[in-house]
Amino acid sequence: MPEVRFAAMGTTAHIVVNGPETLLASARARIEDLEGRWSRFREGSEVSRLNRHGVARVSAETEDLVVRSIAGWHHTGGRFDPTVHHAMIGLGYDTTFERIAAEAAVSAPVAAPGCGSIEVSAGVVRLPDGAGFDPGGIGKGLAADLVASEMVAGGADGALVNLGGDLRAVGAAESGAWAIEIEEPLAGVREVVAFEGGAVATSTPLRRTWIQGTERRHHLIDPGRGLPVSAPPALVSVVAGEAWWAEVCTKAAMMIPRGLLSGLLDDASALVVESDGSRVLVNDMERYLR
Amino acid sequence: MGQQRRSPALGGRILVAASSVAATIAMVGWMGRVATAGSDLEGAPAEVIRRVVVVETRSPEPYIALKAAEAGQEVVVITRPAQVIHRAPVVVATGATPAPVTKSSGS
Repeated sequence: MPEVRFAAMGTTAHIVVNGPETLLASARARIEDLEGRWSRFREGSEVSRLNRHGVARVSAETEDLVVRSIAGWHHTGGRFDPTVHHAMIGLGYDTTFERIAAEAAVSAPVAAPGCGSIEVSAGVVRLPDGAGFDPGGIGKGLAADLVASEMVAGGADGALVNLGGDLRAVGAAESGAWAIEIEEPLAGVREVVAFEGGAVATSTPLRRTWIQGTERRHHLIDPGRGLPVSAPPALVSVVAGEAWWAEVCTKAAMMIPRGLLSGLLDDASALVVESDGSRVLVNDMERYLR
Repeated sequence: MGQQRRSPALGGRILVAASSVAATIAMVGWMGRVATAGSDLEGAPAEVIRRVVVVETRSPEPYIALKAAEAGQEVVVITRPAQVIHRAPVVVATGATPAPVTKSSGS
């Protein structure tokens, strides 16, 4: 099947199409378009304008992103929280990951205010005072959802869009199922999941780490403390119907007590690899493992 | 603009409005000014917008918003009458598993 890889959204994009190769170029352009709207590192993006002014008129795509983020925040009891923006900056993640200073400046932790007071109506988003919006992983997930669906609407029999581990497959692969490898060498994980349509999101604290003062930081933030999640699993990988939802569940699963995890995963399944290497399969994850 | 109801608990000061048409938004000012959101919202004074409270409801009825108003909110906006986000299900694979086409290595 035709495919393309390129740098986008601070990671590597990988698109595979079961259909006309020409769809790859339009898919790439669409991902770049969405990055232009959602990047917190681009001055002119809709998200940057929102964070700068606290209120912004936004496109339908961005309004959809905010609405889904709020829904994810509600569903996970605030464990998934896109308002960790200021906490991220306080931890030194104030530029693209590649440009984070070797030793980020130390500052006091900033708890996330949560989504309860974000207002969304008729294309206008307003943040409460002191809040910032960080699309992060849910932006990658929703972008994968949108682009894969648009490729099938544009004539493909099937398409897979992978944005740094947040991926969505729509329609059929050439041989039926889409198979995806879940890999984290540091955690000793190498698994294959397969489905004929669906999404996977994977998170690990073992990547995107940096030094702040004397502390090693990672990008998975506990919103209540404004600090990286302490003692997280080595890896969480969630299979769901849509990538934005898989991403929401993945982030929340990093910090929820294991006994509550099954209830959190609404229409989703998970592989959790604990820091000691033990594995937990939740909500019939076995259906997808090969 | 759809249904409009006055909240007796607030002495009629607040009007809660809803429309059965998806994506139609009713914005009601605390002084009794009724404005249709969209262009009006953009031009509304900041102090008015700051009084807006978004009420999420899965019902097209303004009941939930009305209760919120009675609980002390001054202005209520009902964003989408049915704010249910439908999600596609996973389609489980039934045949043979091909070679992986990509990796989900995590970020």
